[in-house]
Amino acid sequence: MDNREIKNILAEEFLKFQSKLNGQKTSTINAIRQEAFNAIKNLELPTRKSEAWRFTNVSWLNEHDFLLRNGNPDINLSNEDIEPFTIKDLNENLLVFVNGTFSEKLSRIKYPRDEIIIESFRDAEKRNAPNLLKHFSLLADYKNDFFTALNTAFAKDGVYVNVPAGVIIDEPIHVMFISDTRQGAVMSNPRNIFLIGKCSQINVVETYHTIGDNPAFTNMVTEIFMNFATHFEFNKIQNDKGNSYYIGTTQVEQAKNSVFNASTITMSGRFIRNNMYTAFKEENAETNLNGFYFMRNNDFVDNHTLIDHAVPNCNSNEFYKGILDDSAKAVFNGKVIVRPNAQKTNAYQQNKNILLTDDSKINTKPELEIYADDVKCSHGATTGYLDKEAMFYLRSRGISEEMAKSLLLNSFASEVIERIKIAELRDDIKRQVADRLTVDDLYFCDVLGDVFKAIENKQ
Amino acid sequence: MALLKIENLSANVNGNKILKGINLEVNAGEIHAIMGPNGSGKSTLANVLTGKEGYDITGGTIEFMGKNLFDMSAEERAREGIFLAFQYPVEIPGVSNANFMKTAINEKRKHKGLPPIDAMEFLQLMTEKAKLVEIDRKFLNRSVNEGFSGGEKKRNEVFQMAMLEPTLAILDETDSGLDIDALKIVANGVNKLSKATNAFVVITHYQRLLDYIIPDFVHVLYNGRIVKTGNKNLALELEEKGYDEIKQNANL
Ligand SMILES: Nc1ncnc2c1ncn2[C@@H]1O[C@H](COP(=O)(O)OP(=O)(O)OP(=O)(O)O)[C@@H](O)[C@H]1O
Ligand SMILES: [Mg+2]
Repeated sequence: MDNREIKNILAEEFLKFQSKLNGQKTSTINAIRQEAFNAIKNLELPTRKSEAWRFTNVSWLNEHDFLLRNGNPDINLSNEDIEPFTIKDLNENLLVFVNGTFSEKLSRIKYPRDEIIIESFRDAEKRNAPNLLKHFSLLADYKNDFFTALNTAFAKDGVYVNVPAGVIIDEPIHVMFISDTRQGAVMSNPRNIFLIGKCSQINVVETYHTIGDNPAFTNMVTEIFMNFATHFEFNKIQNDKGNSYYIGTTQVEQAKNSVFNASTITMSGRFIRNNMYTAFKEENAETNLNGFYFMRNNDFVDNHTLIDHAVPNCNSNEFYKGILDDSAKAVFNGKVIVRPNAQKTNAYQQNKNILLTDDSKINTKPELEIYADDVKCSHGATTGYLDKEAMFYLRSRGISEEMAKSLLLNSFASEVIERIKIAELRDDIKRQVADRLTVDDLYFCDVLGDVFKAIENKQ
Repeated sequence: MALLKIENLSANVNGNKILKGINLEVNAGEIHAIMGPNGSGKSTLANVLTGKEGYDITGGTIEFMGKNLFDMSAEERAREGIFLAFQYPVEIPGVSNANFMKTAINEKRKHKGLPPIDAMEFLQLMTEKAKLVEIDRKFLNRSVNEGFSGGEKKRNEVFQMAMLEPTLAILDETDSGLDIDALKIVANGVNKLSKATNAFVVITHYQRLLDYIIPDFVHVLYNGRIVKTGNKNLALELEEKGYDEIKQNANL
């Protein structure tokens, strides 16, 4: 398949999609869909010639017939089917999407709708939710970015959250995106919008899963609007099958005194591109982007971040660490723009990598564009193999090579994982890492440290 | 049977001859001191004994409790009872001392076909040994050696030795960087651990350590060879006269 063929297929799909829309056809949202579709016609599929995709090859898009099955809704999954994807002790608020469509049956939402709105994009669109109409695609760059345009043209469902002012939602919202590929390759285009009212707080965990052996492509766009003094804990957990493909763009706009904390944890997936873009609209806001990737086989992850310091007195901190095994490859690209009037900016960025094999590879690149003079900015990137001296030290105490490696990697990982604020999720990720290292004792050892601390504190 | 029997051992590092025919026999219950000028090969000998990679054994044999040491990996040697207190202990961020020791003990137990140590039993053991080397228990929760002062690192080595109860312990300049109180604590730890069934090889530059740990033998290692062996008085002699005479004799 070449570019033209893909576009022809998309054109057919778009007509089909439009014909299924009823009342929504004339809405402002659909006008934007049309614009996005027109944009696709003129946009090229990104190639390695474009700087933002230099290390990231999307030719797989041509190899599978994802596009033909756009939105094939198969919602005959049961609670048992999704049980393995749940996170222990984290089940108050669960939103499940199957092939891009909301499953009411599998979801449960604790909060009553009139107080806090947590619903599907589709339901929100059907009832013409005024805030959805007002905010849809305000941040997403559907005119210039191919995948954002694709998502926007086909946007039909996703998460819609509208939290009024002064609400603290303690229980995290777990959003599960499932691709059921048992009848063939699946592409889905989830579209999420979060509107957080003044002084409100929310915790979100996104996970991605594939059922079946055919490939799945999730092309997601998320827009997050943070009002005055809001707090958002955003966690993306990516531990999907070896033939899952993911491209996701998260676009955040921050008002005064808001804090956005993101943790992106990537354990597996054939191709993952995370675009995490945040912009400070007002002063005294803070962004913390944490990331950990631990890839094996032929897996690939690309974290592209952009922090736009458009106003003075904001802080940003990026901390990404990765372990690459087998022939896994990773890209980290951290762009920070400090605009001319953004004085008193603090912007820190770090990316640390361990390569376990000669075939694994990392391309890391800071991109600092600083136009103000009274700022503190720093960046650092390291790539290395396991510390030989430390390995020998551990082995000289009787610890096997495999176990020594596990201890070192586990500690390398925990520096990021400890930053996850949701305790249940943090434990879950620690367990996932320990499982990967095939050291079942590790997790317990950490707990033992805590027991010791407790005894210590008592005395 | 000797605990450790080194015969005519020679070893190269990066093509340089460092050990040039070492002979040494250590029996259970003995304490040996190895002294000698900087660069003479003391740490190299310790590293070869513990199985560090990067050394090219060009001749000789080492037997530990009748077994050929060269057949064993570093971790196997440790589990069989060899321990090295490092001259320069390594910092391991993110791995707590407690976690480290528990893993080490369980690896050894697994090797011996024993089940993992009971959590409470382990805590008790740790508390007891921490007391022995007078190490504050809050160190046990900290990452291995990370941010420890020089003296704290050395004491942590002795703590690990106490935890693992080796049959043959090699202390590579464990006294360097210790203040006089810490020196006494370390020496006291060694003396308490010393039994008829184990042995110590103490590498040091200073006679003052040997006031507290009384060696049965003192060896002088120079230019890759043991050039002189005596009793504790040899250390006093060296303290007074230095290595000049020994160097001259060896170079003849
Ligand atoms: N990796 C290496 N490459 C080259 N030479 C080395 C290497 N390691 C050790 N050597 C050399 O081997 C010799 C012996 O070193 P070793 O560390 O064993 O000495 P030492 O007796 O322990 O000295 P000190 O009293 O200073 O601790 C020195 O000349 C040293 O430079
Ligand atoms: Mg030395």
